[in-house]
Amino acid sequence: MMIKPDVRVIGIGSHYGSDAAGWLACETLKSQAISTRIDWKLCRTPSQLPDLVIDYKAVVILDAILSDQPNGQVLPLQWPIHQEAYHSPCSSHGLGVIDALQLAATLGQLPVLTYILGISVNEQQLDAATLINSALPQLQHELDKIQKNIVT
Amino acid sequence: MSQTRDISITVPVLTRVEGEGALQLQIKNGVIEDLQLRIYEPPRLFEKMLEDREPNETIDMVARICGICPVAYQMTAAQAFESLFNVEVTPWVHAMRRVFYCGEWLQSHALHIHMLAAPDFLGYQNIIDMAADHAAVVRRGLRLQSLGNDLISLFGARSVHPVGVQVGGFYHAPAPKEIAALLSRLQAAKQDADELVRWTTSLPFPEDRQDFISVSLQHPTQYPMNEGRIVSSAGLDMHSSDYLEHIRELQVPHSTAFHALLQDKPYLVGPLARINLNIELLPAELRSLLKAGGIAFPSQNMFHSIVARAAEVWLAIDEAAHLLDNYNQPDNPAVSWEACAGTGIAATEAPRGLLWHEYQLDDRGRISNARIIPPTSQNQARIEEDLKNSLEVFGLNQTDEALRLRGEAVIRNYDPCISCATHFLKLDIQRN
Repeated sequence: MMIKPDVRVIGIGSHYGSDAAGWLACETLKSQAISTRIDWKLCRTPSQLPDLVIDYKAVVILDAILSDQPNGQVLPLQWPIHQEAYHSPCSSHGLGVIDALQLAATLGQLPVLTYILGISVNEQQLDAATLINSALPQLQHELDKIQKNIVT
Repeated sequence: MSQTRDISITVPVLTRVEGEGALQLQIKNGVIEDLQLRIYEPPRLFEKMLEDREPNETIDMVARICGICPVAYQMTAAQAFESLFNVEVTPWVHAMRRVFYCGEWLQSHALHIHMLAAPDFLGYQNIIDMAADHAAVVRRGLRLQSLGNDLISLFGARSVHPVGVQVGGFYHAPAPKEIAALLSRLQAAKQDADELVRWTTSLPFPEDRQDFISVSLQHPTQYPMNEGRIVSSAGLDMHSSDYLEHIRELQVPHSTAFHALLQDKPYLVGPLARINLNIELLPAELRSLLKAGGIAFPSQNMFHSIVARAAEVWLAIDEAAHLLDNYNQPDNPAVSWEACAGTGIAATEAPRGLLWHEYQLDDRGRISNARIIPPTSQNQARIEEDLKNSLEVFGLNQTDEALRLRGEAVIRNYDPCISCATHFLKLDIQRN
């Protein structure tokens, strides 16, 4: 019998430039994953997030975020997160990642354990693969920590 | 005696619309002196990028014009090429393209109704505030949007910028098992659709009757989506290849998107225009629901656009369910074709209204010239006309905040997709 995974990892972004970092991180981590407790999902627009987080113990969002930190540095954030802490300049229809998570929380469908692992992009235009090469060890480490949190 | 005051209102960034735009309003001596829907999003020059591309490459590229209505761009491009190549698609392709388009109407309209427009009618700043008091309504919106996205993914492999369409049909026919799973969700969604129509008809609508011309496709037997002639409420009836004889695109200094006029007048495209011109083609059950809600179409009140969108959500669910019932997977999801030189033209009904494409192909079957007229571009002149009329009816002596809110609500009635509309670059050359 298949057991429903209790952690969902969502890569958010698109195919383009550094915005692809969330998707690429998700696909790379999935290809290396051993745990069957994790369900992996790619998401294009934040408005889809409220439906994607229902019925999981924990949700981890992987997203490229603008910061003044070095490219590829992972910025781990745990919900609740203030809008000011999260610099993602583009959102469709004005509904950004934090708005979408806030909406899910208002609807009572956001897991208590919700994390964003932001992949830092500074002003330089970098392709996603370069960002992920730098970010991968830290992403894996943060993901392992989150899984341990759920067990304990 | 009423007092008049000079008012200057600038909304630097319009919220709850797709893309970047602004509104500028000057009122002097109680009269609107200047009103501009400013579209400052950079031009995208998409038509130029299509030059020297092959037809199937173009179909995937035009999907990138819009993250909300990529299906409309793909359908219009595919049909423009098919008209040039004299390709007759199979009944299966006809039916499944309509299902594909239903998915887009469903996701786009569900998003607009619940997340963008509803807060205006219920007096909330945004959907997050609204969700605290209307959780069931917001959940319904998210459910319907998700269903629409999954319907698009069924044929397009993904819901944003899908890749499943080619000239002559699709690259892939879904397996019956995939269809069965979605069919049961569509059937279950009928209750949501009924409730949605009832709910929108119960919203508080401002009295704002205006004189405008509606333009949409019209088909003898189907509510228009992929096929039909272009008609107007002023009596025009033409093949899509004759459209340019009747409309004129023009530049205005305050917008990077063209304005369009039909016989030198602003006109409306979109759900309200479609329903105004095609109400008799809606199923009797849906017409009864609308009638019971007390909203009569044709309507000249732009605030009724939200009801028109809800009716089209109902229709999309009903049609997709019917078309997927007794589904058979074909051996070949596309017919063969051969490219030739010439001009291909097609028009379809994007969620926001009539979308028109023209492609000129050279002897190698590659594009030498492309022209795309999106719905928001066509609606711009009408939006400015509507804003002027609506704000005057609303009362120019209202507070600045009230005028701003009403102005934004008027614009949102059109569900403008600004990213689709930005097409030209203002070139300022100074010579000695």
